[in-house]
Amino acid sequence: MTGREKKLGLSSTVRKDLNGYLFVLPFLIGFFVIFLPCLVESFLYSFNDVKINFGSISKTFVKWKNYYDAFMTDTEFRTILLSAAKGILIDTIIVILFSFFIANVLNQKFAGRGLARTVFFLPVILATGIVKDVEQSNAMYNAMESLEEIGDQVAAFDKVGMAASFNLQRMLTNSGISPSIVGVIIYALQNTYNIANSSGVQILIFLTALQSIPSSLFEASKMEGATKWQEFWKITFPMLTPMIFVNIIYTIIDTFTNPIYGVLDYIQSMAFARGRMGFASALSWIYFFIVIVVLGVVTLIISRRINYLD
Amino acid sequence: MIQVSNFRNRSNVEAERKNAIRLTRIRIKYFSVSGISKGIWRIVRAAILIGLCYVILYPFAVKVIDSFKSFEDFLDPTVKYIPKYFTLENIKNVVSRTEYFKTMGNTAALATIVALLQMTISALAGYGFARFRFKGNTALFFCVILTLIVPPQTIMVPLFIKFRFFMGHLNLISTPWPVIILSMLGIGLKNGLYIFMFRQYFRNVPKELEEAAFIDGCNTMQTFIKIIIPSSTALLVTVFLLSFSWQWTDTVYSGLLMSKLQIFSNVAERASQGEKEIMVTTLNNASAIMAILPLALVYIFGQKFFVESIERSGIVG
Repeated sequence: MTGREKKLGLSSTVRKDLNGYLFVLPFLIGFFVIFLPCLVESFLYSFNDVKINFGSISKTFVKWKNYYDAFMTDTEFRTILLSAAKGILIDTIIVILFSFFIANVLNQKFAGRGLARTVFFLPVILATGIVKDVEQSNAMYNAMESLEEIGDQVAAFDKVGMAASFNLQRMLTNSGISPSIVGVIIYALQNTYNIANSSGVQILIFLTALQSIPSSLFEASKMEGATKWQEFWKITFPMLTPMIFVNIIYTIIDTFTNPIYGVLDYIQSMAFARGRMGFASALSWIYFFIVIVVLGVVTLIISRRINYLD
Repeated sequence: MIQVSNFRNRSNVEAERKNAIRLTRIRIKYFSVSGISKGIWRIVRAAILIGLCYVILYPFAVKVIDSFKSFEDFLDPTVKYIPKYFTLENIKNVVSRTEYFKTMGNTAALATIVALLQMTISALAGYGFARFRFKGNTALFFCVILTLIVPPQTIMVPLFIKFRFFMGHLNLISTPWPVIILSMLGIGLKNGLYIFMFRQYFRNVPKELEEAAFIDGCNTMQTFIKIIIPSSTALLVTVFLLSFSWQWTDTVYSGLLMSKLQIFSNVAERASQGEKEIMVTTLNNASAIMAILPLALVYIFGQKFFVESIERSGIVG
């Protein structure tokens, strides 16, 4: 110990633990100097009518008006929010189930497995940001031009998909499955592109988790005479519960911040195109509040049922 | 005589038995219930995987093929996939209107800087959270998660203002600095995720390594640099690649804070300005494809290493 530390009388473990502050220092600065103040400011803005004039900002305190407007006066926010909520809920569940299934499939041994894994992870790298934006603007552009089939072949693909799904819909409803479940299945099929693109990271996490299950467990169970079904429910599934939880949280966050549901675009246009920044802040805080509530509920429900190994 | 025929019979019986065993094995493997169900599963699996790969790859393929179509191709109703009037005009347009190579250089440089910064800062922070029990560890880690949960639109306006009037009078909008500063301070794009990944990983590193270094006289930073870092190359590379790709394709922060900067996310739509209607989508598609082309090449050539390194990085288990 140096002289100074002897004077402070700190034990070596405490001294070592204080070093932790050093490691997280950049994040500390970033969070408390930039992030948190921005968060607080945005919260304050939501209670004001904010305008940017040339070099400065003018604020007029309006109390709850922005929040009131969001639900009562504004014509679009409620509808956008509701349709987005429905989409987000369904898509989250489908993505998790889908990626779980695919990860299990990709874990089996077959020719071309490496290629399949590459393809499934591709959207994580390439289908974000630029490509997504271009596709969205293309889709909107074509919708406005009420296209026939020139220009955007993806829309043609959708049309084929839609024709096929009508037949499937009829077939499923006739076989006695309740219409709401049929609706969900059809929705899932039509949205295959979206689902497949949003599942890359989840598939990877599940795959890694699957590979970390020690094979000795499976060997032992085979000797005891377990069937594949039993192996799955007694070994694979329980060992994966922590990662299922991680994936659920990640998927919820990812889906909520996905621009295709229209809410975030609406907020952004409200702030910059229409210059109503206080209102936009209020909208985003409403959205943020919903995210927190959903995450809280999901965490409460699920975290009790996880088996941790440490 | 009898002996000879007995000898022949015995070898015949041997051969027949072996044949029977072989046939039974084939029957079990291919024609029993489990054999048939395995076969059916193989077909189903192949169908599902091929179908899904098609769904994922089809839009890219379409965009690439469309980039080679000229205006006449769109008017000609017999042209479905193969362009009859093959042209490089679209590509030339994109290259010239977006100043392709300069933009690519800018984007690559920015992505590399940001990825390096995010990798180092996240590793440091993750190690701090994993190994040191200082006051506020859990609370602060919750703040890390918070940076992930908050939708960027919530802090969009204040963030913009912060960088517009940085420290009073510096206008940093449309310079690369906002994103660089954010990455340096651990609150950049998806930074919370990287910190989370590093923390999970470092928690699983056996303490013996650090204790050995400590006994040898290293302080914490030396331990980190000399021991921990070399044994975490897989995760470091993973985070670097993820950060690089996401920064390359990012439109949220790039559009908000650096909209005049010449990087791919901002110039992608420039190629189609003032064009005839049909060509707008085509040029946008071509532009997007060319914007991600360098990234795609890196991924395709490095993908084996990339996917394997994620699996080996041991974030899980």
